[in-house]
Amino acid sequence: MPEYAIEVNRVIKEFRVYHRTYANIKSKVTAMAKGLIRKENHTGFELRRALNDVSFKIEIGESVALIGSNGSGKSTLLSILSRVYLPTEGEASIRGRMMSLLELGAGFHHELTGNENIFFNGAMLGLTEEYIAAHYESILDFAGLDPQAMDLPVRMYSSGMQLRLAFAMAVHLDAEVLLLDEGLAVGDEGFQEKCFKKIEEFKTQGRTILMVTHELDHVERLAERVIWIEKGNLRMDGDVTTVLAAYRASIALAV
Amino acid sequence: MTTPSIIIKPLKRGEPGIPAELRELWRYRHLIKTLTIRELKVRYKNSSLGIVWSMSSPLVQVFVMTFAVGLLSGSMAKDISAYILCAFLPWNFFQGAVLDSSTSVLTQLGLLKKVYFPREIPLVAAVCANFIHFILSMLVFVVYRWGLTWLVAGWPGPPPREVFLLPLIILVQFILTLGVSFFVCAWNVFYEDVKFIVTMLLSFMFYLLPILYFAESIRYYPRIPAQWQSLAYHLYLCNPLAWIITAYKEVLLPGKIVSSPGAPTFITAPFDYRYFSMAFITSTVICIAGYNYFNSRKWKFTERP
Repeated sequence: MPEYAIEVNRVIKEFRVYHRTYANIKSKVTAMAKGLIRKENHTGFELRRALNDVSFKIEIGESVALIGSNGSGKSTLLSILSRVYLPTEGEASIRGRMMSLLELGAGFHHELTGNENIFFNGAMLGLTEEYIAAHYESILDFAGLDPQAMDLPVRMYSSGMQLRLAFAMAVHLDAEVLLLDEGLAVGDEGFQEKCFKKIEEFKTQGRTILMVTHELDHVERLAERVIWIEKGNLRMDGDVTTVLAAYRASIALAV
Repeated sequence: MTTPSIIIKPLKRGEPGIPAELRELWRYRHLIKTLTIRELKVRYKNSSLGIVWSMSSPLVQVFVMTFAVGLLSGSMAKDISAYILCAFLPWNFFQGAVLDSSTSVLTQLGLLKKVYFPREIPLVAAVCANFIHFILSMLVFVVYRWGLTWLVAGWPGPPPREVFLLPLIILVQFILTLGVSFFVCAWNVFYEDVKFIVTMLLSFMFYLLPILYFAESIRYYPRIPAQWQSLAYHLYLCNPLAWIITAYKEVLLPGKIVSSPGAPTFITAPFDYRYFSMAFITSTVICIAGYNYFNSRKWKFTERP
């Protein structure tokens, strides 16, 4: 029986979309009062389904790409796997240490320096200082940032620098399951190539990667399986050539 | 390192329960440490004298208060400033921790939307940073009472023998502060004006607590009818914070003879274990209730409209 690194079982995610939002009590109370007078429902909200009964399993060592148009629910799915949101229904499980890169530099505390952020990020993963210290050199080496820059607060970094550091940490903290959300789009050519090499190395080490991307060339190069999500539904799940061909065809149709 | 397996599913009411939440918090203890140190660094590094400013500000405030109290009551007790200071510092801890933690999750919300870590960590770190600051400022109190006063006015005498209970009182206060912070923070995520209401309530509470006066003043307050005085005093000390603040005075400083015009002269009461147990129980209940409430809301934080 194969072991699964990621299992997603009938996951449904509904968000409340409020007709009006109340950031303070006063506006809520006045709205409630108006609602009472006019007999309206003051907490009017609609449920919007971002994910509708999505299931798939990813074996250990597989690298999978999630594709789909904007707003299709890819990022919601990745957020649920990263435990930012809880699913409304269904269940998901992840085996092994997971690291997620949901947005460029998202895990950074912007007032901390690059050096401090390495430890801060490690702490966010529940790792000990000794453990991070042991991987520190390789992170610095991979990120290839100026030693001076490592002592500056991260808010002063360019987006490319943030990406370098974030990616270096993601791949060096020995995650067994890596979740990437459009992470590769920013770096310069050289760094992108370095990242690709690292991901390929990851694959040979039997680690699992789930990435969201719009760059279909990246998908072709890095993934061995593609899951296509459309309007919260799982549209297609299969090998790269088949799914990409279908996806391209549907885009061509839509345009 | 072991490979943890994470199960992600909707939580029912009361899931996964406090023991599991605490285990998760323990797993992230390094993050609490990092964030606490960070908060303290920000607090102390802003100016060249950093920590000196931050420590001397309550001292200055207390001297002004001592002067005002002396002016109002007409009787200038000579070491009243020590009694005010040792009540004001714990109050400062409570106030600072509750205010800081009220905004703590909101400031880290951007981070929480991208990375998972237990939602209570920014709050716990805010309380811990204020706690460490409080412990340091208590050292200032020790220097003031048994160093400065000694030099200026002679040896003030040792603290009462109940001083060994001080760590327990500090613990009770920590538990209570954490509990109140849980409620305030969870509310403030959804309604940002909670912070302003709390600021107002706190400035009101300052006068409700026995900081500038003694709890016994309630017992001997001339405007309360004699048959109600004792009840008023007991009710007053049912407020765990009122008792905690009184307790600091009781274990650090000797009983005091208080007399002011229009009110009878009385001696402040010694440490009472009954109030101690009551404050301990109340604080623990508030803390558990607060943590439960926080946990019931915390997964909604990132979905805040």
